[in-house]
Amino acid sequence: MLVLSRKANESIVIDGKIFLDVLRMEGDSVKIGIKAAKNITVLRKEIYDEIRESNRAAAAAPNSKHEVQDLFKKKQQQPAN
Amino acid sequence: MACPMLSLLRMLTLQENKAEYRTGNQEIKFPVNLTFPSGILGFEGINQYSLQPLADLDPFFWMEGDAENNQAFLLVPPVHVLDTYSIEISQMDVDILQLNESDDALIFNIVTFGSSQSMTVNLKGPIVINRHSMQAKQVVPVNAMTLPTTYPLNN
Repeated sequence: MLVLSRKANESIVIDGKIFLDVLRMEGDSVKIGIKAAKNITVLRKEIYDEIRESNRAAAAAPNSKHEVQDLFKKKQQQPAN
Repeated sequence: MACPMLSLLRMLTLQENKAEYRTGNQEIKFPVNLTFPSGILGFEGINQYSLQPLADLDPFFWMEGDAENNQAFLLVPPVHVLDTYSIEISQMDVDILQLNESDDALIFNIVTFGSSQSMTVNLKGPIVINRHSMQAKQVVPVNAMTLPTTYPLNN
């Protein structure tokens, strides 16, 4: 991992295409401005991680339409809660 | 470099109300091929999916990546999950999907099977599709922090 120190109003350029601007410090937060092409998705990491994990769990099963039908049948056979 | 900061105040609200639900999906001939320029989160390399309703399991839909990747997801329109689902889409996402108005968008949520056959729905990262171009994105709405990834589905 590349580690850089920046002061307020300093910037970082990634691959000539993504620009991070350190705008200001607010208490123990840093305000960062990000400029990139629209097709580049920028997210707070905890939200990215949460959705990615949800996607992974969803993709794990079922793997086929048959499996979906089996899972629904099993669900119906359960006694009503 | 003069590049205006995007104002988050410019955004599109998409709201799906169970009471007002019209099956706009009837106008679409399935299966359709969706293009996800950015893939979905965690699966960014998969950009093509087919989407079809599951005839025996209405109102669920099946979204499947091309055979090589074998990734597939169970989807459901939010009107079958809760009475009102309201998401605020940033102007960037509106531009990426080229949505001119809220009617251009189809919304689906990804279903997860948990332990003991419980089902939950991801409300935080909906799949938003431009129904005309079939371009799609897993959108993180501006109001994502108020939305859960594991909303229980009782059907």
